[in-house]
Amino acid sequence: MKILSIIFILSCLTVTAQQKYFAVGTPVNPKVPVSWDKYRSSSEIEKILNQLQKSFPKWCKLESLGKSYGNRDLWLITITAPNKDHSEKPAFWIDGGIHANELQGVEASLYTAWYLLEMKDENEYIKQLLHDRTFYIMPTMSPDSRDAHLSEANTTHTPRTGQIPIDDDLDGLKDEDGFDDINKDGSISMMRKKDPNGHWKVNPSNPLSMIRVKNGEKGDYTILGMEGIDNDKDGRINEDGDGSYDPNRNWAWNWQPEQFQRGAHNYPFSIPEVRVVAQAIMKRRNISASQTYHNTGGMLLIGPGSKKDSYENADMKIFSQLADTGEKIIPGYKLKVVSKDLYSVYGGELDWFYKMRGVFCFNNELFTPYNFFHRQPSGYMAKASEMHEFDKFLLFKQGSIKWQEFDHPQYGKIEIGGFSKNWMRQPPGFMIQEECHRNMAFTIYHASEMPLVKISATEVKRVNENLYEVTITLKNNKLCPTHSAHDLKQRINPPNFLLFNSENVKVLTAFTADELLFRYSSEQKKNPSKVKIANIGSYGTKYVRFLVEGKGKVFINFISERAGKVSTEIELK
Amino acid sequence: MKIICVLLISLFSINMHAEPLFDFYDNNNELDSFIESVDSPFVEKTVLANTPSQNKIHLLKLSASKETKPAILILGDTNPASPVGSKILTEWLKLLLENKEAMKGLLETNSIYIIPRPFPDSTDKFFQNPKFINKSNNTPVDSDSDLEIDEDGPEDLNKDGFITLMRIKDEEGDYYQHPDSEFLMTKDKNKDSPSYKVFSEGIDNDKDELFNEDSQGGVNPNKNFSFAYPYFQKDAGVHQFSELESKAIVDFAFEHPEIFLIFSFGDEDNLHKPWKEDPNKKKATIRETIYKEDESLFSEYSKIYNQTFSIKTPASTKFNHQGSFSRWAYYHFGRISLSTSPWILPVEEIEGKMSTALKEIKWLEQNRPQAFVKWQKYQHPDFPGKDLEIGGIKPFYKLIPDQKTCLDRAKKFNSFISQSLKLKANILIKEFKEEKLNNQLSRLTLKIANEGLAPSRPEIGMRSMKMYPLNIELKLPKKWSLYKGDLKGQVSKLDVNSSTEREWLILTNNVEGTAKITIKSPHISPVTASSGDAQ
Repeated sequence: MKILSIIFILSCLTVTAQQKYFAVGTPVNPKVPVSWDKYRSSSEIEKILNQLQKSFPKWCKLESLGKSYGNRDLWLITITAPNKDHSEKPAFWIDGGIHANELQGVEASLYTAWYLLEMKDENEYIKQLLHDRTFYIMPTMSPDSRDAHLSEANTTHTPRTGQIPIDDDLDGLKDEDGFDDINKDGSISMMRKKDPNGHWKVNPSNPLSMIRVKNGEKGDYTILGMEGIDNDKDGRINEDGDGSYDPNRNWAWNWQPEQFQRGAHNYPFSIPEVRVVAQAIMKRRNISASQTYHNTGGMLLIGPGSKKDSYENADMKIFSQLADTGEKIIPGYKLKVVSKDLYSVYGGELDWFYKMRGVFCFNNELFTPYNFFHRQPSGYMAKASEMHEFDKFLLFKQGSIKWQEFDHPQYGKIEIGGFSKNWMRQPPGFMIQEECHRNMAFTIYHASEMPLVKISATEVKRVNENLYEVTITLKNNKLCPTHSAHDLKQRINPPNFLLFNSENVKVLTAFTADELLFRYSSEQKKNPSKVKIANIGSYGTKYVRFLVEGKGKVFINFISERAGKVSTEIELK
Repeated sequence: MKIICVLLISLFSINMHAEPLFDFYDNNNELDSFIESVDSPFVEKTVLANTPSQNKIHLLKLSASKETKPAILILGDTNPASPVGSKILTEWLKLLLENKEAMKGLLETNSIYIIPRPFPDSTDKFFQNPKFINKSNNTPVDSDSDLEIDEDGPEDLNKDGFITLMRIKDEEGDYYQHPDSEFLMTKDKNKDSPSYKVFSEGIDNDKDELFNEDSQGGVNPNKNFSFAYPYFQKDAGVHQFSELESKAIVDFAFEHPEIFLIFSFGDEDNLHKPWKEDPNKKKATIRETIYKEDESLFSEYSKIYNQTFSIKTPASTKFNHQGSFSRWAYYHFGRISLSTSPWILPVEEIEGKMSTALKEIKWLEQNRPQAFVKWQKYQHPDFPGKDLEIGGIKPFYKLIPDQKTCLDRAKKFNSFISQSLKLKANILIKEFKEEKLNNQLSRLTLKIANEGLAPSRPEIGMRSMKMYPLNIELKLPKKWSLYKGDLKGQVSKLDVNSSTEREWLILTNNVEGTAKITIKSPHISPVTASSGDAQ
């Protein structure tokens, strides 16, 4: 056995020696080779996850949390070092593809799982990270619509919903009038009709795009909307396609019904996939930080979703410090607040994480027009002219659909053309890996700044013959506190506890203080062997002093749902 | 020790059985047996869900035919601690089962869904001893965030079978005995009373200086609905519809768009006093007051209720509407939602100017003298040497009517429901005619009217998009085709005594024929006509 091991080590060394030069930042010889230049279906994603599980059985666990409406598994991969149970370490949650058309969030999540596992033996930092932290990664939250987006005719904006049929127009039929791929090209693009009195004309500098005429100027076309016909003969087109609910408006914080929030669905967590995921998160009480990937616009997005809502100032400082580094890691990305910089969102996932779980959550909006020509964009979607330029010079016109004439059953002769569904919100193939890597790097930074409490000192002082002072110093050397200010205010999660267990030593009383000398301490008279510690702040220290009588072994356990569990032993002689 | 326990249990049993007020009500097993015994072609029985404690949430469908008809949904007790609403409903059902004509009359154009006991795990606590008002179900909740679950419930320290109050003379206390009743502890200063600290009867089991703060179970299902959900209250659940009971009810409701009206017994009221639009709230982005247009409906139902139950002075009911079923049913389910208490202690029988709380005590003194526990000293282990007494009003005595009152209410309930069911839209096709413009072209004209007592959907039904509009469907003979107009259309809302018209131009291609029109919506009886049918 020993000889075999030596041969194996030698062969590895030979490989390393032969590989005289390697590109840093990516695994040299991945056990699961994956090319990060394409978008994968849910079954292809499942295959990679299974391969990771087989290749790294001690470092990850793949489980299905349940089934989607379309009977696809909702996969969760748990990644951590085998030194401790995953539940005993502060954990980071990552999910992708809650909006299925926002494709690359799934790739970024999957890439993170792949990278952490493949790099743990090549990179000491990653290995230590997995010793201290757990990652729960759910690459695709809406697998039915992921596959629908890839395999059925859609725009780049659809389907944002899941696939449960809904009677959107309240006519008694469900999903009876969705898009129709009239030109059979797999994308849903625009319909236009020649009209000498129309309000649109062809862009003279780019014949693929349309521009609105100015007042008094002659137009050539009327725009008729996205490709479709009136399937149910009610005079409307595309008014009842798949779904129409929004899985990211179905979360419990500040949920409001359809009347006030489009896509809300029936009630918080009424969408089965969302309910399954929320339950999985609530069950994993060690989740301390999270990332939910979306597109588009290059944003490190945080709440609140409603203008009438607010985040605690102390917590905003933490978000802002994390984002400062994030903006460096992902050029073109900016910290944004949903209600202030975008629009009102009721029932969003990121708000639920912060407001109801007390978790510091970012919602990265992947891809930015900055990526086109590294120029600061004016909005979160690029201008049509810029997209055409990029299409012309970098995609060689693969991203657009030439206008062609068709016969429409309701509109007669029309023309169909515009942009393909395959880009705009999502990066083209050659840009995917960098997008994934930079976003992952930000989540790794965020994960490394989750609270991690250590017992940094223990001191025993004899007061008199049978009376001792046992002082424990607890240190959180991380940016994030064990409890957010909001968590403390609303008492969402239990406090931290420091337990004093001993057969022979009795705790008479206990004190906690923020400073070494216990000048401003508070006393816990009742149940002093289970000391409540409401919070250990950002880079904070807490001192706990037990006044005890007796001699013998003492076990000190620090228990925090979000900042880990540590213990030590002391002997009172 | 065992013998003492057995003796004590027997004493409780004797004590409980000696109280007919409690014995009249059905526990979950008795309710199950009653429902099992119902055998009628008009009643379809299902179980919406089995709770974690193996209690059934029953659903009864009263219907005269298999077709889906406009329906009312009736819930027994949304006040989880009360067994009264379910008793009134089962007694009402017994009356209907005995009187087929009354049953048929109710079901001629309607179905009735009844959930007699929506929260059986909570209501079961009414039947447990010692008596203690606990509205929560059996979901384990760490109510005091100490990583321990259900570790500090009440204890019946004086062994009288009831959890009452403990009062301790304490200079820092902020309670005083009311000058007119020793059983009323109030924060109003009384110079003749020492100050007290008041706690619920029990021991501080987990040594956190709080009493009974983490008793068995933890979620009040009637705080678990989504309208005005009380976030961060531990007894409201971890989120809206986290509980099996509330989720089972809303899932059922959303599957039944034919429901046009909802009634629930609970601790809220909009029948003694109908809901009105609050002008201060009507401009808010998220509306939390009813629509002006719906006021008249609430008023009409209230009139029926108050006449039926001879209510002369509407009671001022206390309620905590946050996260409740009845508010959800209006604001988030878009239906007219009626709610009232199954019984309100008749304080109006007590004359004189005094607080409602004192009137309640006076009424109990006159009618239920057994409802009081005299203050008696008790040596409490958590308060050594302190002057502590246990006593007060026994739980539930203010909540439940006696048998006679309950049966009387069941009879009147039938009258209330049958009158309420008449308050709905009546859609009629007044005209559907073909006018030949020439041999090739005809104009079809449709006129529909609402001659009922309610709009085709209430304002909330329309705004919330939870109730259907009137869907119009036109069918043409094979050789006819549309020149202008659509085969399908909608009427968003048709108010009482209003009408609307639709027109189509048809290419008849020189062929005689008859067009058919259907107006339907799940909560309204469908109507059809053929062109030429004069209405």
